Amino acid sequence: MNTNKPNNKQPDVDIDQLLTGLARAARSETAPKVDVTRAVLQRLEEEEPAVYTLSEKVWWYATAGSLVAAGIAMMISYQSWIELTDPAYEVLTSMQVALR
Amino acid sequence: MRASEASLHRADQQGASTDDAARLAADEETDWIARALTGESAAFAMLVDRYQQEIAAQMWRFSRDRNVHEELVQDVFVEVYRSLGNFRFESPLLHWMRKIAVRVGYRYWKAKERKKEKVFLSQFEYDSTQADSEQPRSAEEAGNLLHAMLEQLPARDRMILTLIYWEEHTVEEAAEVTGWSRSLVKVQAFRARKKLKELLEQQEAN
Repeated sequence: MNTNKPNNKQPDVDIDQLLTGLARAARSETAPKVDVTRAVLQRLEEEEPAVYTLSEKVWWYATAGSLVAAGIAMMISYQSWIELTDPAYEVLTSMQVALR
Repeated sequence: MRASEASLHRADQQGASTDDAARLAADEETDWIARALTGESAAFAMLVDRYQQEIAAQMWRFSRDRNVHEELVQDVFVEVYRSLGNFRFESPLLHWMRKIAVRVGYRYWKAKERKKEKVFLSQFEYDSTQADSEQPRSAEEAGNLLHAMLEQLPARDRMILTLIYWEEHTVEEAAEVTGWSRSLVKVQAFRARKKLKELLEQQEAN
């Protein structure tokens, strides 16, 4: 049996062992120190008016939308009213003319 | 005999004082959270001050770019502030913050394109036949190598390996953080390991 390994064989990586070893070593590394308190507060302050503007915008859109919808509804109902009453008016007018 | 009794008593006292300090810190934190929820920014600043280095250490696993890193830490605290009303005091605040940090980091990875730069194990003097923890390596070197290796993977694979290996999460903990089922965590971890192994072997062979 030939037990000789070919020289150009791909390296056999034990990935679990590699990751475990590296992660164990890396866990004690020190991350850069940060001081984000002021920046975070500033970002929160900047976001608050944005939320207010958004809700104000939503309110305006909702109001304008309601008004437009009401206008359309009124136009439709007026149109329906005309359509309903017009023939009746015409009948009445023709009757009046006939009676005269 | 008397000396050992005295030392035991001292240890008891020390234990008690540690407990008291922890309780005081927790009470203080509860107060800060309550005040932050009413919109008192100074109270939230106390929370940021207390935990920013822990969160910075965690976010260093998500980006090695100092500017991005700092921005990620900020993102975490902004998200913490927004979600503070949902904190139920069922676990320590830091534990809850870490979950938010993972979500922020994962979002960043998903938004960022995967790095195509190859990593060669030989570049880091890695010997695959001695791939154990005893290999001499500085923490920074190990961190950089691990980061560069995982950076080649898609965000999902990268996250599961980061959680399991780097953050030492159990399958249950990883499932809790990701919101995936336990079996999905196991499958994802298996696939990620396989993908990384193939990548490394391919790059080394070329």
